[in-house]
Amino acid sequence: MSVIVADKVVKQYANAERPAVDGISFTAEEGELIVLLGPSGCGKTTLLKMVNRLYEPTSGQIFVDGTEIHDIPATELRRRIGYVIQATGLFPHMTIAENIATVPKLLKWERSRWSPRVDELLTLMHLPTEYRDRYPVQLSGGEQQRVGIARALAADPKILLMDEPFGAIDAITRAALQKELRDVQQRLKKTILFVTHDVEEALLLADRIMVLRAGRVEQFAPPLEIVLSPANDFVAQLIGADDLFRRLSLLRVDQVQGPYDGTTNGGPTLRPSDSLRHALSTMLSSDRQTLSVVDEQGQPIGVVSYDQLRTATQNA
Amino acid sequence: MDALRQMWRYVGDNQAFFVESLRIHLQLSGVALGIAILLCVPLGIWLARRLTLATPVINLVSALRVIPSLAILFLAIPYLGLNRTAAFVALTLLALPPVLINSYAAFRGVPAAVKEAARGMGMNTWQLLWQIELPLALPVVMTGIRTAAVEVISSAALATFIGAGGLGDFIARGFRLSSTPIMLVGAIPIALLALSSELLLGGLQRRLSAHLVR
Repeated sequence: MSVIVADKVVKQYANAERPAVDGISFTAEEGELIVLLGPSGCGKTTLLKMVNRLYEPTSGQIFVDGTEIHDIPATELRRRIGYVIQATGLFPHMTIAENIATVPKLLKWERSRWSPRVDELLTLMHLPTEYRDRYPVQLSGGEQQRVGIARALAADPKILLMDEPFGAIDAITRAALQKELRDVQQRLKKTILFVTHDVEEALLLADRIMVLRAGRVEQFAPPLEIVLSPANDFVAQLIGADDLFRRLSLLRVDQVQGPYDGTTNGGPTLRPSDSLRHALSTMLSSDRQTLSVVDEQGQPIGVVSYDQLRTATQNA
Repeated sequence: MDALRQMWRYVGDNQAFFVESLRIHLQLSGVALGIAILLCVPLGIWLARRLTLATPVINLVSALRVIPSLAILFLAIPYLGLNRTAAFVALTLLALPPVLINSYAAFRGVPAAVKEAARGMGMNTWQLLWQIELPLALPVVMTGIRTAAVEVISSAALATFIGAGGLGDFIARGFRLSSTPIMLVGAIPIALLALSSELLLGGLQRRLSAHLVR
């Protein structure tokens, strides 16, 4: 069963010429990370906030875990959905532990249950457990956003809504957080709706990307498909589909590698899960036309050649 | 020094009257401040959610502040007579603006992101108010209460002119008798009261906001 089902959802703000969200239907499966991508005003944030009823749809239905969201009280719905926003929204007068325990406390968990959970989440987000008793202002922006994610995960919700969570964070920290989110996602298998206007971020994180413009869905597909066969000029331009590096970064070594030919050239090696962009950069830096692909034990299992890369960018 | 010694003797000679005046003074200030808080903090919270209404109300209340304390006191007489009720009403009117304006500003100032996060986590209106908005707004609300407290304590000295008593009695009496020591019997305790309320509430405010500014 799909975890989130939206059916012809419309949001018409008073005094607005056209609906912010104009009849969008989609489903999100369990463990799927869906990125809502588009320019400002495309309706991505509005769509996100209708799922936890911070905004009420003008018409249409949204089902979360099989329940129409208006069939249960808004507060109860929200306690079942993790929510992360850009400006962290941490409560400045509460300690990190109290912040993380917000939803467990609303759900009336005993201290003996939420307190160890706080440590567990701090560890999961690579934060020292000594941070428990600190206040948000004592943490860096990146650390605060980690706490923001830990807080959203506290009551172990099936669904996470993330509204440009890394938008206000410097590039280096952002890259680290994106990687952590992917790791966490792989371990916890949450269903995530993630709003961003950053194409790189979308391509990196998404299982599927929903490209939005003026309240409508332009294309809803996995990153590779969007880059390789954009539905129209708008999507192509937004995604930068012509960018060869972008194509290479979405293809994996094991998608093009040739069979192991019994020779090794002693140069640097690749892993099957590496991107072709990484393969190209390794070729250039080691000045070689072919590289061996090795498995986890370091045993050679295939080769990738420059020609294969060239073919991949052209007709993939 | 001589004046202070005479003042001390005067207090000793009129102990019962001094204690009674002090009690009335504290009562006048305390009740006025209390009513102002009970009225204006909720009103401030309410206004912070109604922006179109807020501006005219806040402007009106700010305008109220330019009326001198003495004038408010005397303006109350025709309606309420020469008694303590008039003094209570006048002093309460004095305390309203700082408490209301600061409460309004304090609740307006709670960051939108924090409120949205709280609602998004599933807090209801009351939980949001008690657990998030009130603690975050309290330091600024306290500033308003501090201002009002000092204003009310010093203005309560004027209550004597409408026969409502308080430490102002000594100032008026000293003035009539051209006696500095008697005037000081009223003036010094009033100054000390105002000062200590400032220090007390200031300390409380710092404790409340300690972790917000660290």
